[in-house]
Amino acid sequence: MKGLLLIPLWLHSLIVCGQVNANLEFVPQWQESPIPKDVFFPIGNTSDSLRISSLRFYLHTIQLESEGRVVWASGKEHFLLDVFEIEPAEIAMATSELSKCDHISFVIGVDSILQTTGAHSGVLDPIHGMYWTWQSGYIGWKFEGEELSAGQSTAIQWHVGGFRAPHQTQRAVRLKIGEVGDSIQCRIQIDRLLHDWRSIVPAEVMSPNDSAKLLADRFQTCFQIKQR
Amino acid sequence: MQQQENCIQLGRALFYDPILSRDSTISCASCHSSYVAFTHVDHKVSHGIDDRIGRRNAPALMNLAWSKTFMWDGAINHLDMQPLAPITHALEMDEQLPHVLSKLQASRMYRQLFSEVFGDSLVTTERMLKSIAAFLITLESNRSKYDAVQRGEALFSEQEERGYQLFKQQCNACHTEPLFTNGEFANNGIAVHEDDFGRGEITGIASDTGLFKVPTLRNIYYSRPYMHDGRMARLSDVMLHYGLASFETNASAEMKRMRPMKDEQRIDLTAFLLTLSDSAFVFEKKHQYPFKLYEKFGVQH
Repeated sequence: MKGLLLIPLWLHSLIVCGQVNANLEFVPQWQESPIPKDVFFPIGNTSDSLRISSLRFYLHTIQLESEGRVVWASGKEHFLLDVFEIEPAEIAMATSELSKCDHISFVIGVDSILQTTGAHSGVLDPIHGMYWTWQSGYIGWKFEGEELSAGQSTAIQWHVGGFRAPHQTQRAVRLKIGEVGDSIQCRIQIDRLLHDWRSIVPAEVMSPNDSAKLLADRFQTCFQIKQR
Repeated sequence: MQQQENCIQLGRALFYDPILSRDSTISCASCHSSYVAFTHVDHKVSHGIDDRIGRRNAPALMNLAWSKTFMWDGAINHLDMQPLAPITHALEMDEQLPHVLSKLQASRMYRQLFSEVFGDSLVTTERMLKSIAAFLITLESNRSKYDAVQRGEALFSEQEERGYQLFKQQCNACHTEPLFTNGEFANNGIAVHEDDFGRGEITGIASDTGLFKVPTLRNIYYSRPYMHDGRMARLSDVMLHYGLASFETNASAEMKRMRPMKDEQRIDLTAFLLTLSDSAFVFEKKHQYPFKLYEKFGVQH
């Protein structure tokens, strides 16, 4: 099961000139427990349960820092992550200072320049279902699932995007990391995303608006590095 | 240059091919006919797949290279991306992108055409969209009598000249020369219907409610009916609307500066607007249905 949960994005360096291999893993969690795909699991101390069918997001500008210096950067290349996907996406990282790294940062969403410069290929191909065809713009991240609460079923569909003011939804994340071995595990705390969600957003958010901004703010806080 | 021309011809083949729709019945040209400046003459709103009816008038297509936004509400920000909207819209072509690509990939004609442009026969979203955009870019209208006058090759009649002077006073703020649109969004004083809030639906900004993109007036003779929902069937209806200068309270500031026009002024203005008709454009063969290409590959629609 773990193989299914561990992620699509791997950072690894080539073994050249003393450089060290490492990978970056994203693991969706509910508090301390990994989340299985498409299976209802209990949430909190109630009889409520949740089933997640999809969690996908764009990521770019990944950087590793050591004492305030950027020692490795992915550049503007974009990655489309599906945390329930089996096949990992890979990018190459080349730094000999991996062991000294103390912070990692990245941006969730799609760069605004790429939102206004026509058709793109690769992970930015609209065929991946992360582009609003009725309104130019990429969906920065998608969360789809179903919540069972007090016998009521609620389908949740959050397609969060928007690059124009006042509804920009790109968010930067910067996290402290401890000792780096052969992997950096980044947990996505879905419990934070879903906490009391009914009081702030509707079950369906499908366009750039105030709800999308609120969700973007909240998703930004869901990332957490597992310390060794 | 040959590659560029091949790309335009590929885009032209795609534009006229109903293969882009779910059941291969509707093409871009179904609502954008070359003979009427690439709009859907005498249809208030678009007709789509399974006889479904849209909610907006098909805009005329021309001089798109100078357009920053597309659609009546400006929802699309790049010409490349424009075809995605009608292809996937349930009331228009109702197709899924992966299915479109697989159909094109299975076509001998398209494998060859893509190969001639891109060096291999792989059909991708990016290639398809850029090819359609390459064709659309060629739809330039600049051979009207107005253009000839501006180039010093012709003269307006006295009536047309009076209409032109009136146009510059009354209309040019929004329908700015030489494109005859300023590319912005405005409320032209017609009643807003509750099923369509225009630009406001895209921006989510309350003050954008009821704003629609200012359309070009080029080839207006061909592109009836008028307004975003086609509510005005004749050019005379449009002239009457503006001539009365009695607009809804939410009308844009430019509208409120307009002065009422007498009957003869409306006629003069109409005479000028007819000088924007570009018959060479609407009957341009290189913009029309590519019979020879389809025939070469045995494609029948």
